[in-house]
Amino acid sequence: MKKENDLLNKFCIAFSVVFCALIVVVIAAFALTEKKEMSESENRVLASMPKFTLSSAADGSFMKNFESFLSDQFPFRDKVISLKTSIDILVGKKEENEVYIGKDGFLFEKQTEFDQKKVSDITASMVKFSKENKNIKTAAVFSPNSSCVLSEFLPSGVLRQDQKNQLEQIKKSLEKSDIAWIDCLDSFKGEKDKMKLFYRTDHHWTTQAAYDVFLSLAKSWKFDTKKEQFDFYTVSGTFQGTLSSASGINSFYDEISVCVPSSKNLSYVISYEKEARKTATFFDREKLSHKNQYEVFFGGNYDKIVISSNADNLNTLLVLKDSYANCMIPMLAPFFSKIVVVDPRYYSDNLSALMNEYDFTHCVYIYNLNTFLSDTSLKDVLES
Amino acid sequence: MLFSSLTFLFAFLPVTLLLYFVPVFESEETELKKKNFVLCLASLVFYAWGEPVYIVLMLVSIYFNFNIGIDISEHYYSRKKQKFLLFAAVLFNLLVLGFFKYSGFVAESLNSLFSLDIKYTPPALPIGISFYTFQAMSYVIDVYNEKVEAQDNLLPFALYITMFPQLIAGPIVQYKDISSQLTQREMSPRRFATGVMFFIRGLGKKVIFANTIGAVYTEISSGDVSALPAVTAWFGIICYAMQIYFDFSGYSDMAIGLGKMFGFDLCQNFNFPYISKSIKEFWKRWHISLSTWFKDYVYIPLGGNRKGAFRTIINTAIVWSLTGLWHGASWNFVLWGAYYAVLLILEKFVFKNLLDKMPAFLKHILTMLLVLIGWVIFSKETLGAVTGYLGSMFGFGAGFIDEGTKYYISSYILPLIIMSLSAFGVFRFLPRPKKSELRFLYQSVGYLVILVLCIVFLVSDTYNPFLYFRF
Repeated sequence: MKKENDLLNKFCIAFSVVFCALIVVVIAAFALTEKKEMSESENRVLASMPKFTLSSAADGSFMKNFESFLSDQFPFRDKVISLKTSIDILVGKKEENEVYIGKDGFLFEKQTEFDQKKVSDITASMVKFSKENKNIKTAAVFSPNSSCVLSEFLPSGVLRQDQKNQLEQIKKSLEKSDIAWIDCLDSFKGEKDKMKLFYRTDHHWTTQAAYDVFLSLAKSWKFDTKKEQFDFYTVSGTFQGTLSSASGINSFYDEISVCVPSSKNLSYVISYEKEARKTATFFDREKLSHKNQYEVFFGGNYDKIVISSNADNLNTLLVLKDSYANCMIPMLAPFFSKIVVVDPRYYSDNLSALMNEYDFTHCVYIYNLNTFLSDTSLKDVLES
Repeated sequence: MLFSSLTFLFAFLPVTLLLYFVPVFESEETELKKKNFVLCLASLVFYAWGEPVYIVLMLVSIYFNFNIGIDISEHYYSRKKQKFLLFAAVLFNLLVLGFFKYSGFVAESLNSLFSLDIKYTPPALPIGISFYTFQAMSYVIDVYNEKVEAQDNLLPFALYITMFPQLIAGPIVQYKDISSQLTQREMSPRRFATGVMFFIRGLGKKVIFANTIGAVYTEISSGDVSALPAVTAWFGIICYAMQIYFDFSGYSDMAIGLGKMFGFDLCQNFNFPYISKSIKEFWKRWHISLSTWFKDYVYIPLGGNRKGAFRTIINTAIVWSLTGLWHGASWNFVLWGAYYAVLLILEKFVFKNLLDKMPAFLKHILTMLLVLIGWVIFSKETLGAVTGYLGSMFGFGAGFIDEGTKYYISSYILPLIIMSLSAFGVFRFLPRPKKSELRFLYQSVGYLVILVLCIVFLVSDTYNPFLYFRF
């Protein structure tokens, strides 16, 4: 009996030692690992060791910041977080930070609610704008989101809105005007592999999807897409987009392709007016070495970009858009001598002044439904 | 500071353990004094970590109760004077508690009752004040009743009030249960290891169980609670019941475990409350130290059940309204307490014979239903929300079931099943090796895995992406 107790006692000592050692090892690892400044996947600055002052201790901010410092700089933090998401998925969780974890590696953005009043306000101002500019050929490209097109990849039981029906409603409210409705769902129908229409890890459509819709748009405007050829290049195979970042799930990589006009005779000048910067390419290759590789298209979103080309026509185009447009605009370039791209979310100037400055022949709205339904800036810009 | 924080695990605890256990003095007596001093100082730092300003309030409370305890025990004072001192001591503690915890509530209630317009900004609630003032009161009352000797040494007394394991969330330790340990206690590897296991179990309950399941109820009850499908409403309140049990009992386990690591025996605070077969049993298993406190210092002094049925009913009503109010300065807590008073009275005086004849499993189901309804009252601050949620539970919301219900259930059913098995104590009946060493070995591995999981959960909790989705 005595002997058994001895053994148990030794086990107790061993267990206590292991417990303490585990804590010491973590502390040592913490002390030895290099502190990071930024978390690319979270797109934020990580906390650093707070300075101890009497006032920061008295108001408790030192203590709060110290805890953030420990958690932000925890050794192997990224791995630890991946482990946690794996556990979550294992026990049946279907979303992580507002991102649905779908089948086959697809991640989905939660859908925006359809606010009837808000939508009719925006469409009314679109109708009014088109009536005021009767001589401009206007088209509307509203893309459904991946959760609509690839709904069979959503986790089961997800509350889903009927984006198809929502698009119909928007279409109907634009019927009072001459705005040409480009049916994206219809354009996608020709695509054999629907999985190629959206990124798995990002909330954008792919360049392929944009191309399918571009063909419908060109057809509506009677552009000859037989004459203009396009080349596709894969520029990245390591893309992990916003949905991957937000959810912390990073087991899949996406490819990014770009689509450019084949003709060597055409040249372009893209000018970012506010930055007083000009380039001759639609792409910012440098962005491919950053986390958000989708910014390869035009380097991201800007309030206003002007694209001038030596194309042999007098067409000028106004694009009112969100980031879905970024991969499509290069396809439109050969058909216009000038394209002005306005992103209403950043645009603070007067649109009517812009209308006077350029003599637009065409105008297109390019939005995805989630952004369009939550946006308020388009209406403001149209009425400015 | 919270136990479930990285600061506690990787800074506070190791430093405190180190200072506490590395011997400095040869004499055992001086060494114990050093240990007490370290623990007391650590407790003050622990408290100040969350509430730098209110440390003053705590020191005042310690000093006052320490001195008045000595005064009350002075035998050359007349009983009358001792009684007066006791009255002053209780009044002081209640006033402090009243001012910091209930003054805003009183002002608000007066405003709405008499349609007044008292402009009053209540002070922020000092953490743990409900716990430590109750401990201080139990001490002075017991000194007056000569159940314990007054502590004539400030350090052990300060340690009793501040001891960080039970400082912010109990259990409410009565002085008589711990007085001898303040000056003499056993520290052994066995006790330390048991303490570590208790601590890890509690940490797991809080970090892995409570935090995970807590998200469900928060989400379900964030919208219009009177328009929920019935199944969603039930699912939500069951999740809440799990959350509050694992949260609270987890804290108690951590406290008991830390206590053991430092050589103290704190009382058990939860004993599988959800297996109860009556409301009375439930309160013998839920937050035991609080119900014991109210029984010892309110119910029994009021006469308990020795003065006839009528007085028993009145006493029960008083005790339970106060118990409710103790949980928070809001009317729904009073209602919650009153709800239990009514249930206990009905159980004792009206349905006793009926309940005695009922099969055990029915009694269990009935008790759980009543407890769940109790949690609805507990969790919702306004009467409208309480009745709205209850309405949803009984089919007056949005029908029976919808797509959202299925989504919640399929997302959380597995964690909920595991938690329910744990809450019902099923894991206790798993086959285990007979040899105690082997059993300990298995447990050790299990607990270390839980600890690693807890760290993973704690670190991931701070994953905080700053992203603009709409771009």
